[in-house]
Amino acid sequence: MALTDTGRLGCGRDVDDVWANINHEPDEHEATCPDCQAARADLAGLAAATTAMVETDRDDTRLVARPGALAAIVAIARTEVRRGRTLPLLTASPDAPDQVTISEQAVASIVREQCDSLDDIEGRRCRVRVVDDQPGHAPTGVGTATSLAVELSLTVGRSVRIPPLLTDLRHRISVAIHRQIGVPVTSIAIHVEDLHDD
Amino acid sequence: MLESPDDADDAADAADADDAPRPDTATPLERALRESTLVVRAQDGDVAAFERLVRSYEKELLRLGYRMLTDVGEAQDAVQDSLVLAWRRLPTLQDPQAFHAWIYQLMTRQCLNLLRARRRRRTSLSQAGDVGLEPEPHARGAEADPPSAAAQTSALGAGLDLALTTLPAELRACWVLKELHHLSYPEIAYAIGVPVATVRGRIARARLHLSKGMSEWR
Repeated sequence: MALTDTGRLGCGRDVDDVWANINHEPDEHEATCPDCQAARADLAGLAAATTAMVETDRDDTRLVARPGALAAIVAIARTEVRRGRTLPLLTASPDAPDQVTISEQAVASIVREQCDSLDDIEGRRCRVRVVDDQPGHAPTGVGTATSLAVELSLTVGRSVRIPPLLTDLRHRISVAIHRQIGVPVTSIAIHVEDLHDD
Repeated sequence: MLESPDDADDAADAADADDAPRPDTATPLERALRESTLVVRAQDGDVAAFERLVRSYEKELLRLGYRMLTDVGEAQDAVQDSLVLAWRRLPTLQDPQAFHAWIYQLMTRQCLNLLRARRRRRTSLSQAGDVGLEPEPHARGAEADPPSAAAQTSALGAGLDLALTTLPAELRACWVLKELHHLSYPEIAYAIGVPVATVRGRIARARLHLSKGMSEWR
């Protein structure tokens, strides 16, 4: 057997290289090198059986998740869900009896939905915080609605013109949050962290 | 009990460069999204994004579990435990691009721990010494599921099937991740928690062992 437990053949070649070429014709060196030829012979059966094993396992009808496994995993995730911060929607303390709060995660899901409505954008990280006082306005009193500031990271298709797309996205997010939660959005900071191929 | 994964920073080196959307996982109603996008969303608490990751990985992790544990039921349990652990530990994953290697790390370590526990049970029963990296005795014993029908009908397949079960667990993990799951050397090094050079050595030894085992079978 030409193979060794170091992975280095007598001719100095790495057995990885022989393995990488095992399903092709021998290259120039392999065609004349006795070490490589012997290693190819040793590995031929293993290569064929490995390819077959990948296919066999893929088609093996026993190798499927147990019924209900996905539901069980997702159920655990839901019970341990990370909801982010709790955001008060009225300018009062969060524990006031008539306070209305919303989880950061719930607002983020509205933001992600709007990102998904635009083909060239994938919305990623989303942070939301409460802004008590809107700039340029007198401080609001206790019990009035707060407003929200959104920070969002996303990836954008490589061939897209970013400015008009982000204008559209900002508009959609503001409208959706206002429609569903009833509070205005004062700012949407967007960080384009990547450009992806279309 | 699963060991704590290495510092998630290490995952950067093992990041899967191919982060294309995984369209096979999306139902017709779902828009295809890049894996790293789903990972970030799941980190943020989006259960629907996590569910899509689970759907896209549960089968391949089950195949890994079966080749490591040779028991379909145990493999199914290991997949479930690994995926629940993934949900809990997702916030610690620093580089979303490294999710592929990271999820393989959780599952591989789960399998290696189960095999260690199995060995400990055998050792305590037989009062034998520590077997370390030694192959499992009678890996195809009564508790193992029989090889698949296709492996039984092909002499070559049956030879590899059997030779693989006699391979020491740490070598088997490296070989299975490389040849059946096509992980890169850095990804395997990250998954197992050893240097890349060690992975190379183990795969060379695994090939030698398997080739010899198969030639004996023929």
